[in-house]
Amino acid sequence: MIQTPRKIANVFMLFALLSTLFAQRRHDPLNPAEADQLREAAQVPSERIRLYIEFARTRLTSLDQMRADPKVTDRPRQTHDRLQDFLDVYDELNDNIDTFVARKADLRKPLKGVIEADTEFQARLRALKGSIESSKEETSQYEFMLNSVLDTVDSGVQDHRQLLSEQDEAAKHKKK
Amino acid sequence: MRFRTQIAAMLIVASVLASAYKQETLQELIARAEAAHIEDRPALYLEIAEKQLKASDQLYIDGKVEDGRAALNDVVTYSEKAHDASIQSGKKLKDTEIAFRKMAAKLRDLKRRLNFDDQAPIQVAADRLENLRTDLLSHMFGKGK
Repeated sequence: MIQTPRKIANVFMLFALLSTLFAQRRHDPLNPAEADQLREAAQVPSERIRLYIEFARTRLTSLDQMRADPKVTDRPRQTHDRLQDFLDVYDELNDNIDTFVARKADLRKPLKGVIEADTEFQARLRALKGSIESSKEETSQYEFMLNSVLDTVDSGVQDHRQLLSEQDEAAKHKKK
Repeated sequence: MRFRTQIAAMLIVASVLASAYKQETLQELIARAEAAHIEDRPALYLEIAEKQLKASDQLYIDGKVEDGRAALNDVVTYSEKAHDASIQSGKKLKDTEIAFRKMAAKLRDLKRRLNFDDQAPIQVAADRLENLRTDLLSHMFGKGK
């Protein structure tokens, strides 16, 4: 009987250790079905880019839904995690664009979709920032993440526009 | 027939020379990073890590798994050096953190394109980069001091 508190302490320590281990191993931001869809579209840049836009949009929608749910108790933590998921998918989108550019793929059409999505993402993220600033919510857990996401999307818009203009220019020269 | 053999030989020599030049460039970059001021090292180490990540990606895709893994080890090694130099100098913490995040994204993408048997080292490298990133964030917010 005397050993019970020690056992509880051991179980607690084990739980804390496992929590740390799981925290150190970040989950894949894409679910298996999404990963399968990407695999199937491996050789089709426009489809792969379209899928990434869709997955990023789903992350923002999930964030909005969570924040609108009055039953959610750990809103700051969940806001942080959903922003991180969005950023992970957006980083992968950019990485794929870089890969296709290196392969000299014609991305003019998909890039138009990316730029439209960038504008939508910017507006939704700014709206989120605005709503947070006007509320009294505790933001320290995700303020840095939100700013990182906004910075990344802002520079993404510029990069994508620049790339589209370069590809338009290259296409004009090809035609001549 | 003889002409074809000569062309093939020339191509092999050109390929070996190109490979040697590439290797030398990487070695030069490493030497430059090691000799640089501490505040300049994070960017140089990151450049090496990013180069090796690109190389590793290509090697895995080409089926050269062992070479891909060796390049992957370099990614982790030079990321760790960038992390240490960044913390030691107090410079480029945010840039280094962003670079780790982007490299981890590339590794996740690479992992999904590989057979299950080849995925484990990629996951280990991605986890290591995430840990380095978390540690940098702790320093940026004063917890690591």
